[in-house]
Amino acid sequence: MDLLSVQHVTAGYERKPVIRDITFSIPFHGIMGVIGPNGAGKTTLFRTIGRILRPMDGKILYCGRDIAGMARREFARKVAVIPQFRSVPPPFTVEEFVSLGRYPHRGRLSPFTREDRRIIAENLSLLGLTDFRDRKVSALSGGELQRVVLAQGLVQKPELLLMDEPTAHLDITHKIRVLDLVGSLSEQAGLTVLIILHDLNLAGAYCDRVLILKDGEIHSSGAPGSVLTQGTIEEVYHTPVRVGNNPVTAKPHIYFLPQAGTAADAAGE
Amino acid sequence: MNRGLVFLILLAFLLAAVALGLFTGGMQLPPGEIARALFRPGSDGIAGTLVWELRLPRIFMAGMVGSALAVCGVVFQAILRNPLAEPYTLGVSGGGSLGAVIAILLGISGLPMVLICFAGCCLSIGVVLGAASLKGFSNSMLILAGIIMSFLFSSVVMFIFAVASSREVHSSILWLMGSLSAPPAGSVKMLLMILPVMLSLLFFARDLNLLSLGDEPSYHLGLDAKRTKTYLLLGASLITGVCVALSGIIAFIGLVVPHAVRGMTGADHHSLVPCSMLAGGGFLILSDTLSQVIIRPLELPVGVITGMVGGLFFVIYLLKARPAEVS
Repeated sequence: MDLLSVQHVTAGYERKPVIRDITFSIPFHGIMGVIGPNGAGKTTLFRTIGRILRPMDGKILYCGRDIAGMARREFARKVAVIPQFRSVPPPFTVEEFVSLGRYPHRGRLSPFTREDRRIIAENLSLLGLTDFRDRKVSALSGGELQRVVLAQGLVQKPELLLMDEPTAHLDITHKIRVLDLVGSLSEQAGLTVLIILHDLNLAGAYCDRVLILKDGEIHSSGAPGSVLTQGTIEEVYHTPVRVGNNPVTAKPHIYFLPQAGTAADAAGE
Repeated sequence: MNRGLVFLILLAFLLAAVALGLFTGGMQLPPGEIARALFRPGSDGIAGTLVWELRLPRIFMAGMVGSALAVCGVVFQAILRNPLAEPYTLGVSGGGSLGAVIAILLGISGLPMVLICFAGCCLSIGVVLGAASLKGFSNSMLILAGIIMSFLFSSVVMFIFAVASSREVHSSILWLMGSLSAPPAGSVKMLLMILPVMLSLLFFARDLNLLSLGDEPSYHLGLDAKRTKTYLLLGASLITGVCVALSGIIAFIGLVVPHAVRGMTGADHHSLVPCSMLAGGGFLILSDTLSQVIIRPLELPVGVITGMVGGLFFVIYLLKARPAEVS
């Protein structure tokens, strides 16, 4: 049995489907990347799995159970969602904000236990936020806020972590730091991750499996090496590329071929 | 600042305001007499009547209305995720003023006027929440519906002003400014009826924390945002409606007190909710006492005082606060 199984799901907005008849499953452990052009339905798929959108057709099973029948709090104890867009949060301190992630585990009136405090402190230090704990989240930089949001998701102690473009707006240092952390969590803590990425090279470097969406349907899926090929990428993105390998990790690496560059090269020859 | 300390300071502020309200007012009596009457309930004489029939009920009312408006302000700011939200944002006051003006026009006063005014509040609550429920209680829909209802009701009020006599207009305007000077019989009972709803808000601190992140993040943290929002909006609107019906439109408390308290406690509603209750109650008791003594023996509408003090405070607060903390 898989951790999550998406079966013939059609979903969208106001009766207009954006994704159609999507079927795939996420095995236990590992990182699964979702890529595809703008408007391909990545975020719609993400919001359907995160139970913001209800499938118009088909169903999604979590460990064999239909997620539509799960209580919200129960679902929140198993699946943490880190959405793409965030407005400026209210002026909580970092520690308060991260602590909100423990709410699914505690009743309305039960105060945080020593266990909760331990988990919160552990994740603050894991993300290098211990020194920030008393800062206001509304005063943080984009990279700091991203780590705080990730920490909130991690203290939920989920089995499945859904992330929509967690590295957008981050510089390369922070991109690598966030993804390295996600990678080590999936390896060491057995966390399963579904992640939307725009950067094909990051998808190639970090994901165990890649799912390509195009026009609301699954175009192809599989290991990065078999999916991130010149033919597939040119077909999906309508952009000329060459695919090589990272000289250190041997993971697929995509080279883009800017038009201006080729023209200049041609003129120089 | 330490939350326990903030709570104690605000509690002391409330008690000090109560004491001040008890010993000063429109009529001056020696403090000894007031103290003696205080410890002998039911005693005759001017002091007994003043303390037990005038000042204490009025202090109770000011305290309740002040803390109710402040805590409703906290609820609306959290749910609507808007620093400018206040108890009147959803148009409750618009319906209330229309009801009150109609009552004044028909020569109705006392408890019947309160009930007509409350009916007006309920009408606007019903329309706004009804319209918003069609759109899944989205914040923009709530705010827009509230603003539209406010405009609609105030236009009708303007229309009535245009055709009413100047005396009726004057008493309507005084009512609109908000006053605690002539609470009709039964006010205390009405306030006691909303007390359980107010106290229930103390148990929603966790939900308010989640809702202040936005609907979708609160879903992801396991909250049934729609159901919780419905209860909180309905509860806070009804509390506001009772306050408006009893005391008119008392300005600024529901906007300023939550911001002031947030500056001291931070955004966590576990301390923000109770501390706002204490601060709002103390602030309105203090303002009401001031309104009785500033132009003694006449009285100012208390809304004038809260508006001026609140407005002044808000300007200072905005200038002092770092931009990131204004929200």
